[in-house]
Amino acid sequence: MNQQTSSTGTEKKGEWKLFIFLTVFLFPILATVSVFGYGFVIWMSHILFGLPTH
Amino acid sequence: MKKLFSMIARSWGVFSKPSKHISLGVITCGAFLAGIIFWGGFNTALEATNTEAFCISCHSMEENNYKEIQSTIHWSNRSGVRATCPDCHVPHKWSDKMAAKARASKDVFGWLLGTVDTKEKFEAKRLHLAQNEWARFKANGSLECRNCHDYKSMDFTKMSEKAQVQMRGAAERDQSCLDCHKGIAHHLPEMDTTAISELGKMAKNLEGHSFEVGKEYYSLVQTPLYKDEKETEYLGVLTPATKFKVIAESGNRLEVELVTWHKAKGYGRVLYFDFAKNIVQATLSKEASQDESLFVRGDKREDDLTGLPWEQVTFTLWVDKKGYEENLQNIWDYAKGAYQTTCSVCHTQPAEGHFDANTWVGMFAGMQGFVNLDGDTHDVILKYLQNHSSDYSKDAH
Repeated sequence: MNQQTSSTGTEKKGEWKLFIFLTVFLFPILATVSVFGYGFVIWMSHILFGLPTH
Repeated sequence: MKKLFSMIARSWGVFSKPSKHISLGVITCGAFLAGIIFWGGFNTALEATNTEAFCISCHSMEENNYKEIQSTIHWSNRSGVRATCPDCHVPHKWSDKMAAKARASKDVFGWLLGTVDTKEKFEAKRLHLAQNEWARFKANGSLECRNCHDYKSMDFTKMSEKAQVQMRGAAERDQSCLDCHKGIAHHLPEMDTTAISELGKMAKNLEGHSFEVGKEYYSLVQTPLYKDEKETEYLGVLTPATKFKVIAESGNRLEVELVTWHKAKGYGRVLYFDFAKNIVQATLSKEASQDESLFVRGDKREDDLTGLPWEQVTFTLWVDKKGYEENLQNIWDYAKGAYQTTCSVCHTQPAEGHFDANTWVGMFAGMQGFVNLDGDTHDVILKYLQNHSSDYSKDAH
């Protein structure tokens, strides 16, 4: 019984830790990187296919 | 390393399974809130990097571009509206803006490496930097200008007559603003370095070729004239595209014969291509123009228009063995290209045969103020125009 509670405790702690890590660090960083990547791809396409016209 | 892998493996286990302890409500609310905060933060960061304060946080931007705009109408004017850096230099469309931001990461490297951290380095790069922006404006039809200046909202009747003619035409053609309005917010790059190198390059390429006595050649750049094969002080200068005949060679000099005209009044220091035509072949020092041992007099005629007597003179002088062109057409081809690229920047340039040789002098002087030409290119374009003017061209009007 005692052992189960402690394993549940670490499990819970692990879930929270991952949740915070994902929402505060990983996903915002991924989002920023992907926007930069998007910009980079457009930039490269300008070099390959010419600058944007109007 | 092993520890890191096991941590990732454990995390993946938690990540891939439904949570046991955190409720769905807490997760969605937490994620939603985090999303809002991220979105706000992202936009704030985007805005912050799109302010003038951010742009001029780099020394070179503040020292050069920012100082330069302060003397222009885009900085202060009667209406109190001003353009800031991003108004013109960052696209307003989101995806193009992101591309501009990604591209600006290059500027960060430039800043770290000190690519333009001194005035000299900046000036050396100015043409290149300007050309990047010009290409962008050319492609998008000066979109950033037209976010404010719209042809549809222009009241042409409020413009001066001169401006009206240009602006109505431009509106009709839907012309890109920068086709004409370059260098309105920052200084124009010195474009003469590129131009110098063109004629200079042609001359350099021809250097070392042998010369045939009795054959005619053309100067490519301003060429010093000497009294003999040794004298170091020069008597005058040939303009580019001037014909001379080689009559002897000695060491690294050529003795050349120059058939020209001068005004038989005053010193006659300027030598012209043809009777009563203001097409300059060479200018001489006062002494040289009076030194009878250097030239032989020929025909003498009076110009009815000015009443000035003209005289044909054949000079015998020396030039250094440098690169000279045998085929005049090669020089005209270059001049024609230079004329078309520099002059068509502002307008459709008049046809060569539209004016006579003497009118071109004034016409060209009037337009020259708008462009930066080095001496050689200036001379060669003017001579090209004069030699293809109504005086010499068959299809003149």
